[in-house]
Amino acid sequence: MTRYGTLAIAAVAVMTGAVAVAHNGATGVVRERMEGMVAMRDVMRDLTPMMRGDAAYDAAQVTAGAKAIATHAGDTMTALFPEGSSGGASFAKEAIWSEAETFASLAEELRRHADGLALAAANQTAPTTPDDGVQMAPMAGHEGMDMGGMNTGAPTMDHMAMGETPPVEAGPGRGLSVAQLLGVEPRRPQSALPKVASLQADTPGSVRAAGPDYAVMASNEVFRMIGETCSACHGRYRSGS
Amino acid sequence: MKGLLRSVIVVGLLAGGGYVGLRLWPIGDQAPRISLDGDARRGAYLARASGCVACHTDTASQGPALAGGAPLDTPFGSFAPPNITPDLVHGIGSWTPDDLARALREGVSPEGQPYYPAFPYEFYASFSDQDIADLWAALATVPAVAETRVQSDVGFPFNIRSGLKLWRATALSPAETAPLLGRTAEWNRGRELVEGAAHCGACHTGRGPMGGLDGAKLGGNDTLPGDNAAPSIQTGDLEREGWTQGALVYALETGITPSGDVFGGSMAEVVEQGTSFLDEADRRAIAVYLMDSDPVGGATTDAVAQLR
Repeated sequence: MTRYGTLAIAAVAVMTGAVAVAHNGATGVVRERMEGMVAMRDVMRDLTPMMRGDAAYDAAQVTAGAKAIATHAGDTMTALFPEGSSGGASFAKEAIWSEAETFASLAEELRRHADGLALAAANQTAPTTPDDGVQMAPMAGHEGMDMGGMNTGAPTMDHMAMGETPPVEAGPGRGLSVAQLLGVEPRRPQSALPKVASLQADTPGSVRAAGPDYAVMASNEVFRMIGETCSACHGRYRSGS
Repeated sequence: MKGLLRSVIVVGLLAGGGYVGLRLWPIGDQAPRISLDGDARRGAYLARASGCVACHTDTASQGPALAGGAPLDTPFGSFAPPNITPDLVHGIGSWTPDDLARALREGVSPEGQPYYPAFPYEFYASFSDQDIADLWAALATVPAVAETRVQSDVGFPFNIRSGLKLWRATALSPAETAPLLGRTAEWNRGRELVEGAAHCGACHTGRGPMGGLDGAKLGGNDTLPGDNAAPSIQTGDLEREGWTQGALVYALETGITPSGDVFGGSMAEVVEQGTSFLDEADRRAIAVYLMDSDPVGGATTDAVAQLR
């Protein structure tokens, strides 16, 4: 047994114990949705070491995990949050129902990303670009192309022409412009599926509705997007932490 | 009857005198003149790392950058992070770099008033003159926004700012971030971020009845604004919860924890608006420090490293 394995088992034991306590007393639909959340959490737990590069990559396990998350997301998830089902053992905040559309769109975004992870499962690294863990979906003619260290040379003329401070390749905040660091400009261009934009109503046929081209993305990039969606939802609708 | 009247007058005079005394009590050291040239890029990175952007921007409502953030609801009242764009009226356009230095390092406004500790200036106490100059250069690039989005709403007696001078005298504990001898540069960088700029302790260290940081350092805080709780991030507790250096680095970038859970609450914002913007090397430095942050007996400040 490696030290890592022992640690992992210890972590699982601790978390299982914590959840057993935390979910104590939950019944009915609250219990059901908690179990769904736990199932998704366990998938994330099992895939995270692979996505960090700390464990051997197993495409089949990624596919299976992605499908498992997808079955708990979207409509399945929203159906388990009927109005008035907060309180008691639940961590659900009232905002779930006052912002029902946003909650539903996050649940749907999760399903889309999970399906996307299944599509990208074979791509331990992005097939068309070097994976440096920073850039988003490769899209032709896209400003995001400059963001991830793909620029090995001088800043492009595009940036100079636009009068922006170009992202630099070294030093603090490399890959980001001063405006991006200060929040004056979004970190990711609109078409790279920023979270805020994806919360707005999807227009059929738009890039947002279709989502990025998951099949050409590195799986760890899609995995990261799943995490962002979870985090956006937890931040808004889960009390505690 | 006469005695009662007399004692009321005496108490009134004492209270009045105490108030005048508080009003006149000078606070803050003489700020050195900030005359260095600032590097806007370094400053922008520091503003991001220090949470200036996260707190002073109302991201949830898609508010303009640094034009004022969502109010922080505390037991003492609701504190609205102000507009810090260069607008002359609503922002800090009329400030000097020295004003910024005093605000950040000492928590004193240009008018000499103390700031509420909802503004975590305790953690910025050891910002260097260069840091201030860099932040100044960065803030100057932000588009001015001519509005005050939300006003703070603080009830009596906490709305008497002069009362904060008592708080400052008793509860203020400026961060110690100077590098320690016998530690690696990476560890010391982590210390600088965790104890200083990134102000982890603002949430992860408990607070006393007066809102001062007086719990075990980084030992967790169950009573955060907005129904939030921050767990202990002391080394031993992190280890027990299954954290490793690599897991911390990854979680600070993605929000995904080793249990498979994903951060919510204010930590979701910290990652989304803060640590995910940091350089990988800085996330690693934070992790190195947190996984080995127990004080070392007799550690002394590294005078040479301080010069770097």
